[in-house]
Amino acid sequence: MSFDAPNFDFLMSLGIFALVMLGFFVLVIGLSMLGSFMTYGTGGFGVVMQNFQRALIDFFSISPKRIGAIADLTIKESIRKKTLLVFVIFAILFMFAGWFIGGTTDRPDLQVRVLVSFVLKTISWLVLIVIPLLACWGLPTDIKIRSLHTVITKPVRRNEVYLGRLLGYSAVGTGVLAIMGLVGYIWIVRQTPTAAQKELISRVPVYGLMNFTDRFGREGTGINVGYEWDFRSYIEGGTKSKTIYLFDGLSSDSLKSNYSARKAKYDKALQANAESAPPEPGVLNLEYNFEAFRAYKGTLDKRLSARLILVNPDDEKVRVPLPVFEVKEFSRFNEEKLIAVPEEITYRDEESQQLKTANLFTDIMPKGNLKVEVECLDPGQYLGMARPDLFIRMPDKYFATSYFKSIFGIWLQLTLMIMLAVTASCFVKGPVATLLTFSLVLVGMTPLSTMMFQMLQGQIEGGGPAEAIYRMWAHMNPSVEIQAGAFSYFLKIIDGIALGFLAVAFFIVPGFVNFRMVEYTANGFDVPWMSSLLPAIAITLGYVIPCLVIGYCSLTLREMEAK
Amino acid sequence: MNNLTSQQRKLLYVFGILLLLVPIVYLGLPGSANFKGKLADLRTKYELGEASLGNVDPASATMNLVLLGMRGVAVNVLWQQAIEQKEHKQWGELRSTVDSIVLLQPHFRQVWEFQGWNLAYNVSAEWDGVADRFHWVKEGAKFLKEGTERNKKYSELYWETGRVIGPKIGRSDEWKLFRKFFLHDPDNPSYKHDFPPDSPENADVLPDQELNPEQEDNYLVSKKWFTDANTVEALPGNRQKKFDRLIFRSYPARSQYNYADALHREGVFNEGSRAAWEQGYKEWTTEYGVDRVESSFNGTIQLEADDATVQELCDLDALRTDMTEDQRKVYTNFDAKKKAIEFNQNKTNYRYWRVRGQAEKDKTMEEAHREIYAARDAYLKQGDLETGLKLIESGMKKMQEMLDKLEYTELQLEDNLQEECIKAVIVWKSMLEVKRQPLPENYPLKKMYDENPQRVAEFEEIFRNQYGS
Repeated sequence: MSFDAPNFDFLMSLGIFALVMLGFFVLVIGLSMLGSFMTYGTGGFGVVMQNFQRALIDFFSISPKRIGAIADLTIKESIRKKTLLVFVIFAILFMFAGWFIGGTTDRPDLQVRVLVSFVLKTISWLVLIVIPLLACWGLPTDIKIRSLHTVITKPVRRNEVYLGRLLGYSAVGTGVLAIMGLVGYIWIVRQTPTAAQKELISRVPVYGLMNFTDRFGREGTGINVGYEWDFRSYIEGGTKSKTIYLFDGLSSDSLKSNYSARKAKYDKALQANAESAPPEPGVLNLEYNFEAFRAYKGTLDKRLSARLILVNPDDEKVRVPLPVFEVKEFSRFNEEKLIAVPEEITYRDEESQQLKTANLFTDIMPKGNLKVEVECLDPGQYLGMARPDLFIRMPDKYFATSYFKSIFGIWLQLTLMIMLAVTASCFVKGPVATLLTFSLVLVGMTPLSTMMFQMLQGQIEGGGPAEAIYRMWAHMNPSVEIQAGAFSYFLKIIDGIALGFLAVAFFIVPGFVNFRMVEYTANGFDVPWMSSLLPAIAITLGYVIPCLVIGYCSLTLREMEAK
Repeated sequence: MNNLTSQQRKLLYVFGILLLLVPIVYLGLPGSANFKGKLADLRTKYELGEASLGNVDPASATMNLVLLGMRGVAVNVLWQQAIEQKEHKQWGELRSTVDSIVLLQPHFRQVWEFQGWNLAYNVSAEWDGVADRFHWVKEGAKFLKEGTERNKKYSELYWETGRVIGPKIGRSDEWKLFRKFFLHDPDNPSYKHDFPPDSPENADVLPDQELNPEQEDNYLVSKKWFTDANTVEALPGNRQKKFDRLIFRSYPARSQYNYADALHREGVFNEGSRAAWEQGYKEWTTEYGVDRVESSFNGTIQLEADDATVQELCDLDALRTDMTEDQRKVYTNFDAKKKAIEFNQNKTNYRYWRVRGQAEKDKTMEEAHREIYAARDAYLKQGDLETGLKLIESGMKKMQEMLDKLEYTELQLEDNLQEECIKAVIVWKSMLEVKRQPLPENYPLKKMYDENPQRVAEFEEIFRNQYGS
C-alpha cells in the first residue's frame, strides 16, 4: 500500500455533506408528503406537520437516563447471549498463533510485520463480525418476542430506543475491543524477537512531490521494467535519468529539535551499549525504500550504488552531492536505509572538483524548500522508486501510539457497522438486516467500490449493464464500437438510468477503505491524522444523523405488532 | 408412531443412536495387537494414517478438523494471497502464507514442490544482495526439507531438496559466493558482512545448522538428499513421478561428479580433487551402473553391462512369472536386451560420464586443468604474460593429448570441457597478440576451436566485455 494517501479535504467534504444532508431531508419530507397525500388526501399535510412536530419534541426532550437504561439492558442482553465467548476464540487463536506464524522466517524484521498484521487483523475480524451480528438481531428479536411492545408503552421515545441500543452495543464492542487490543499489544511485544524489538516503532514521515528526468536529462516519466505491480517507476543507471523529490515547508527549528531528540537517544544508546547503538543521526534524516532491478548480472558481490544530491530549489547552482551508498532494498532494519545529513556538509563540487562546505539551512534550504535528486550509478542497471520511497524522518513515536491508533480505527469501523446494523434492524428482520449490513461493508471494503467508482467515471470499457448484455449477445468485444443510431442511443439511456442508481448506491456505501490503518502500524509508520484518522472519524460522524433519522422514522412508522 | 408418548419416543431415539453406534464403533476401533478395527486395519494396510505418511503436525491436524470440508476453499484464498504478496514483494507475509497453505494441505506434494521452488528460485532472484538471495535459497531448501519430514514417502521432495542444495547453490550466477555461504552462513549473528565469507574474520562462522550440520560441501550434502530420494523411491509400491527412473537414480553419482567439477572451477587441483573424481567414477560405474531397474519394454536392465551380464539379465528374466508370452520373448532376447541397454545409456549420457570420470582421475588431465587455470590467473589477474603463456601452452598440449586418446574422444562433445578448451585458446590468442607473435598454423585444441564457431563467438564477446580486446 501507499503510505502517503492524499490529505483529507475537510472543508470540501463538509460542504458536500451539507448538500447531501439537504437533499436527504428534502427527500424524506417529500416522500412523507407524498405518502400522506395518498393516504389522507388533503389532510395529509397536517398529518406530516403533526409527525414532524412530534419528532422535534422527541429529539429535544431526549432523556439520557432512559437511553442509559436501554443501553444497560442491551449490555446485559449481550452478555446473556454469550457474546463474551468471543474471548474464548480470541484466546484459542492467540494461544496457538505461535504454531502458525512463529519462526516462519529467520528474519526478525519480517516477523514484526507478520505479527502486527496478524494481531490487528484477527481483532478486527472477530469484533467486526460478532458485535454487528448481535446488533442486527437485537431489535427484530425484541419485536418478535414483543418485549419492545412492552417498552414502547412506557414513556420511552423511539429515538431513545434507537440510541439506547446503539450505545449499548457500542459499549459492549468497546469493552471487548479494549481488552483484545491490550492483550494483543502485550502479545506482540512478547513475541517479537529481541533482535527486532527496535523495529517496534512509529515512524513519522514527511513526503515530498516526485518527478523524473529521462536518460538525456529531460523531464520525463520513470521506466517500467516489466513488473505487473507498477507501483514503482525506475531510473536508468549511469545516465542523466533521475528522480527528483521536492519537499516544502520544512522548518529548520523543527529539524533541529528532531536532531536534538534523536541525538539524545543516540547518546543514551551509545552509553548503554556501543555495539548495538543505532547510527548517528543527522539534522536531516532521509529514509529510502528503493528497489534494485538488474538488467544484467553486473558485479554480483556488490549491491547497486546510488547517490542523493541536495539542491536548493530557489538557487539550483547550489548542488551538494552526498556520499555514494549501496542500496539495501527490502533491508533487514530500517536504520540501514537511513541517510543522516549533518548541518555542515563537506562535499566535492561537481564542476570544479574542489572540496567545499555548505550549510543545510542557510545554503541549501534557506526558504524551507528542498530538492533531492536520486541517481543510480551503475550503468545499465535500474533503480525503482515511488513517491513514498524517500521521506524525511521526523522523531519517532512509540509503537503503542500507532498501534492504539489502529485499534481506534477498528473501533470507528465497529461503531459505524453497529450504527448501520441497528438502523437496518429498525425496518427489516434479523436475517435481512444482517445481509444488508454485511453487503454494505463488503462493497465498501473490497475492490468492488473501486470498480463502481471506475464505472461511474467511464473508465471501464464496454458501457453499462444494457450495453454489456448487448455486447455479450452480439459477441462484440469492448473495443468494437457500437454503430451510432437509435439503438445505441436507447442503450445509453438505459445505462444512464442504471448508472444513476449505481451512483446513489456508491455514495450511500460508507468508504470503509479509509479505515485501513493496519498497514501503517505493521510497516512501522505512525497513523497519519490528515489522511487516515480524520477521514475515518468524519465518515463515522457523517452517518450518525441519517442513521438516527432513518432508525427513528422506521420505529415510529413500523407496526410493532407485526412479527 | 404418533401414538407414542414423549418418553417412548425418547427411548426410541436412544435405541436408534445405540444401534447406529455399533457399526461406527466396530469400524472405528483403534488398531491393537489382538483386535484391529476395520478402518485401522485398512489404514495400516494402505499406509494412509497421518503418522505413516510422515511426522504429524498437531497444528495442521487441528486446522483440518476445524475447517471441516472448507479447507479447499481456504487454500485457494491463501494461494491467491501468496501470489499477490509475491507481486507486492511482501516477503515475510508470503512465507507465512505458504506455511499456512501447507498446514492445510500437508500431503499435497505439488504444493511443497511449487512453493519450495518459488522461494528458492523466484523470491531469491528478487533480492539484490547475494547474502539476501542466499537466505531465500535456504528458505526454499528448509521448506522442502520440512516437506520430506511431513511426507516421508514422496521421493520427489527429497530430490527437490537435493536440487536446491546442489545445483541451485552450485550452478547459479552467484555460485562462488553461495558455495562459500553454505559453509559460513551470512545469517549467523557472528558473520561479518564487511569481509568475504572465506576470509579469516569469518573462518569460525558456522554453516546453517538445519541444512548443513556437518559443515560439508553443498554437493556432498545434496548427494545425501539424492541418495535418500533413491532409497524412498525404491520402497515397494513407491514410484517417483518426476521423470525417467534411470535419470532420477543417477543424481547421487552426478552430485559426486559435480562436487569434483566444482573443485576444479574453484581452482583446486590436488589429490583431493582427483580423489573426488575417482570416487565419482566409482559410484557411477559400480553403484549406479550396476543398479538393476525395470525398463519400459525390455525387462530388467543395468547400464554397466558386458555380454556376460546381458546374458545373465536375460536368464534372470526367463525365471520371472509376472509377464506375458510376448514379453517373455523380448525380455529374454539377448540382442533386444543389449539394444535396450544402449538406448538407456544414451538417454542417461552414461558412457560420457564414465569416460569423463576415467579421464579426470588421470594425472595428465588434472595437470592440464591446473595449468590452464593457473595461466589465466597469471595473465588476467596478475599480468604475468610470460608465466601465463608458458603454462597455457603446456596445459593446452596436455589437454589435446588427453582428447586424442581413443577412449576419450567422446569428451570433445561435452559442454563444460568445450568451454574450458575454447576459453583457453581465446586467452592464449590474446597473449600472442600482446606479444605480437603470429598465430601458428597448427596448435593444440585447434580442431575443437574451429568446429565450434558459435561458441567461439560467444566466449570471445564475453572475454572482450570483461577484459577489453
